[in-house]
Amino acid sequence: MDCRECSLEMTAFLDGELPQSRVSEVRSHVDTCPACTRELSDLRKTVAIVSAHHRRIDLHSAGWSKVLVQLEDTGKPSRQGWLVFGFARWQPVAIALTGFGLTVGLWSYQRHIESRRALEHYMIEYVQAREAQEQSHRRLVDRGTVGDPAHPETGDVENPFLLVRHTTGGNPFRR
Amino acid sequence: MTGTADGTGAPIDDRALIADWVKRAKKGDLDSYRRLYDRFARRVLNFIYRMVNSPEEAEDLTQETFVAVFRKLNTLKKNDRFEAWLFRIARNFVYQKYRSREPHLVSVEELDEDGQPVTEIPEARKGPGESLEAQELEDIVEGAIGSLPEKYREVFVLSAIQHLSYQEIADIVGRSLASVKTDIHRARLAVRRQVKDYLRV
Repeated sequence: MDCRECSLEMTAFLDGELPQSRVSEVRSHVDTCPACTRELSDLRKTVAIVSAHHRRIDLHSAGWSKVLVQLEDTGKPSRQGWLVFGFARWQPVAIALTGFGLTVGLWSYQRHIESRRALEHYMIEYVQAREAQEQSHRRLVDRGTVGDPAHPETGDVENPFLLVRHTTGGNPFRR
Repeated sequence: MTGTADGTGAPIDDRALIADWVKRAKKGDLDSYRRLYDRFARRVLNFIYRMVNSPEEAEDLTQETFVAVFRKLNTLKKNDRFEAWLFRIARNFVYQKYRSREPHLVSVEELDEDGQPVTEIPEARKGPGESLEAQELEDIVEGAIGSLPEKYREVFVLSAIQHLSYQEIADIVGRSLASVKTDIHRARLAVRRQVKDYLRV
């Protein structure tokens, strides 16, 4: 540390505002430099003179009374002040979050509606296919041709879901 | 020596006490607010006095400050930062007052023999038997502080007289820590030049 650098740090050194590493540097330099020792001493005395001899004025004895009169008119500290301050500060964030939330909500709702419609459509087709299959089976029972190889349409009646698969054209939930 | 390890001026026990008073005052406890007034009003008064150079105006602005502070208490987020926040509000009142004021034109009668404006030094409290040298020193100190540019004067007063930490001063004046540190040093050097004749006594 040179004299110029030391001089710049002297006031902060005296005020206890320097980090410890810098304090050590200033001390080391001042210990070996008469000019900086004198300058530090002058600054220290300057602060002492100012502290001891600056003019002070006193509060008026009725000062608090005057403040109190106005405070009593005011009532409690304003909560609105905090609300306004807090709201003003967070308003853009609140608006952005609200917009995002609404967008996500609408999108989710739309997906929900679409899924529900697809499910309803699938169930309707399934029920229709089952009814058709049952009607066909009843007709065959009435005719007495159940299990007759000459009538292949009665083929595999034990697994109605095979018919359903062919009828509906696949699972609408599978994309 | 100003400041503590965590960058505020008041000892830790005091800060806890002040924070408690602020907390109660926020709920409308005027007794607690009276304690805050008793603790800080004189310091605020003398800070404002340095800026406006008039005891009457300083008194009025101090009262306005404390009324405004009470109304805005719930906007203070950290109760233990009350001191710096209070000084900041006081400073804002001073600047608002000055910005609305018309420039003061100095008449011929207000100039001294050298053509410099005569600085009115308000009546201050004087103890009985105050020596001539002490009075002289007081005038020199007042002149030295008063002659500082506003930017230097406020940080000088807040550091050398009010003993606030550099971080608190930076918060009050709304400048960087580095800028405040430089200005405090320059202000001290300027005052040192004015009082140099008394440094060898």
